[in-house]
Amino acid sequence: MIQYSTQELISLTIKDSFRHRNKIVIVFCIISLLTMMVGVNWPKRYRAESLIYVDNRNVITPLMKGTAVTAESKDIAKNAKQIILGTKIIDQVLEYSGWLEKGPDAVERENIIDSIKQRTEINKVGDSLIKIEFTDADPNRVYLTTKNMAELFVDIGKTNKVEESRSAYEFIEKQASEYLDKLTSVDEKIKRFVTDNPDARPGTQEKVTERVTNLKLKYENTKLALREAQIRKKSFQRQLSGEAAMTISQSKEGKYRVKITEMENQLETLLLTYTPTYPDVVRITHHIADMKAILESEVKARDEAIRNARKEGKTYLDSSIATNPIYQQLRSSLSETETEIATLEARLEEMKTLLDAEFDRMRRIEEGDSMMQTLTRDYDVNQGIYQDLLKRRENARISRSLDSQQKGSTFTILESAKMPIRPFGIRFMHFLILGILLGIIIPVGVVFGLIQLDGKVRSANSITEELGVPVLAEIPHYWTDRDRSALHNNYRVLIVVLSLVVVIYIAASSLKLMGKI
Amino acid sequence: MSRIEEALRKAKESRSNQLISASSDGEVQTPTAVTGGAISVVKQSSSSSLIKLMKENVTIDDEKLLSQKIIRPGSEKSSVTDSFRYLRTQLLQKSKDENFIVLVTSCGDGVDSSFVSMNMGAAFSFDETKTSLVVDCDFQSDTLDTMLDLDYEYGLLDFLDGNAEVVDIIKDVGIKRLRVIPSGLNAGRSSESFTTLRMKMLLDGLVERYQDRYVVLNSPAVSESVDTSILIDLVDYVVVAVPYGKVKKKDLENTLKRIDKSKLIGVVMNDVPEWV
Repeated sequence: MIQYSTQELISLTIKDSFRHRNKIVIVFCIISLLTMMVGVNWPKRYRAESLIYVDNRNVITPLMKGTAVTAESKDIAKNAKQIILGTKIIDQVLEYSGWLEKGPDAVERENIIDSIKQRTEINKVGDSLIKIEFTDADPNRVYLTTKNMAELFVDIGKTNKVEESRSAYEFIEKQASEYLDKLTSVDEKIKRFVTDNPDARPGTQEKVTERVTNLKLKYENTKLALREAQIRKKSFQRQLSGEAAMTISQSKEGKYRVKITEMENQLETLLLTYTPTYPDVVRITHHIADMKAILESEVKARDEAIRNARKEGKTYLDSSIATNPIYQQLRSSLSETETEIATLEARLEEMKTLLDAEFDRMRRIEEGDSMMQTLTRDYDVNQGIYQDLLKRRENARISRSLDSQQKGSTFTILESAKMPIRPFGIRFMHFLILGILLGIIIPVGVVFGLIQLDGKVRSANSITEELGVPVLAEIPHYWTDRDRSALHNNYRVLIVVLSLVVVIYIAASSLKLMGKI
Repeated sequence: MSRIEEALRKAKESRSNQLISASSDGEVQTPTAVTGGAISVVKQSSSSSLIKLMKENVTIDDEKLLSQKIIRPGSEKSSVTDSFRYLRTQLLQKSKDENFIVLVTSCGDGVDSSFVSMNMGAAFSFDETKTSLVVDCDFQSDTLDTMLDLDYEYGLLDFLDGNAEVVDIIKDVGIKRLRVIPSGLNAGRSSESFTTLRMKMLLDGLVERYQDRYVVLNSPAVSESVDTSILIDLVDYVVVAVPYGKVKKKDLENTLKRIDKSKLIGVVMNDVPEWV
């Protein structure tokens, strides 16, 4: 094994290809013609495909959107494959697509089904498309099989859909009637409650509260007025009491006493200057004694009068007092006040009773209110759901009728199967190209491989590098004139041979195109 | 020993009798006798004048050369000619312009070195100041004879046997300044001939007689003949001709091992294919 650089390898391959040109051309002819023969005998395979649009959502999902959550939709391609390759459809496919023409027995039939399953490809394309592909040697059978598979699948889908929308409608209908019942019963309860509790009307509580507040205010005011009146009464009473009369009756005595005091003061002053025998002092002293005597008589007279009055059970009234207008006025005010107090007290009592009644009522209203609230809440919720259900029921009714008329189907054949005209896979033209390529690559590859593997010496570099001996010269082949003409003849032969291959190629292609082979 | 003595005697005789006229077999009378005498005496004399005096009786045309696969010094571009020129230059550089004997051997079975030997000789003769002599030492093959279309009476073997003289065996093949000694058509003969003193003397004489004569020995592959190994001892340089893509690396390695390293100059790869 000799190591060469890539560049060297290429140059050596070119040199050796020239050396072995005849062998290379022969191998090329054999390989290309053999490949062509394989191409001629290559079995044709046809393929048909059908595209089915799938409405992935089921009926209940859009109908119940926001209200109920349904399970995630499953892998539609997988489902479709199971349905299409299931016994139900495949049996019909066999029957309608000409598979049973030869009258196969049970085992053969199983084998046919297995081979159909193997050659059927069902794939999901994008989000909502299913592609059914079937491959077979007979274009007509391919077409029929694919077409039937798609149509039967869509039919089953439609049936399922009708069923689905019908059950959806029934479900919603049932729900709606349940909610209607609930609603009715709550409604009934509310009615009964309102009848039983007249106070439990909406707004009653506000009124009662207002009234209570009013009453409370009035009550407080009345209470205040009563106290005021009582204070006034006491004041009047005090003014009118005996002490007052006394005060007034003592006023004369007072006068005397004041006078006596004054004179006594005068006396003391005089005594400071004069002796008791001084005339003025004597006169004042006498005067004082006189005054005291008068005062004493006066007190006596009054005490007697009081005693007499008491004996008779009368209030002693000094004549001067009884005739006093202020006293008269005080008397009338007092009696007025007393009357007012009596009135206020009566009113207060009345108000208290009223207030108690209102409080009682208020308590009743509160109890009734919470009950009423519960009932109303139930009613509201149920009513909301019921309204919603009614709407959905209408939708469901429409989809049901749509589906029963098969207008909103889940599956639609978007692209129906077509009769395949050209076989798929490797075509004759590919074999021709492959033949040419292999015819070149194989012999040149062998030359290329031999250069590296046969251990023969071909390049100066390898000798110098591996054996350590210099290469003095590389001498090309010496072409004599005879050699040259022989070479040219050789070229001609090779060209003729290659042309022959081309002619055979063209002929075979034409025959193939005309369908003769 | 008697053989050696005989050879020496014959050599003396020929010199004294002025018998050495390299082209005495030709028809035209030229002052060869003078030339021969001069050569033996004046070793250091300018040889170009002597070469001019060489008798060139047959000159073959280019067409024939082409058919014989021999290069010619024409001006037209030829990669083969250029390669041999280059080879010659390299050998001359090695010898520092002194004349020498170079042995061309091949490598591997059935591979012939005649083409390289013959053309190497031709390349030397391109130079007007140089002559060359190709000695065919390959007794097992007549490739060189066939190539040159030689018709001769005596060959190297005859000389070694003493049946012929040097003058009898040197042939003019019609190429200027180039002479050939054919093998002698004695296929299957034992190789012992080369061990004789006669062979050594012949070679020494051939080189020493003309300062500008370059001797090329064509020999069979080392692996094929013992002759070659013997000859290697007698020559100055050894060149191995390796045909493109025909010799295994291992064989070449073995061949190279059997050659004295001091004499081995290098390898010539020939018959390299080219798109024509």
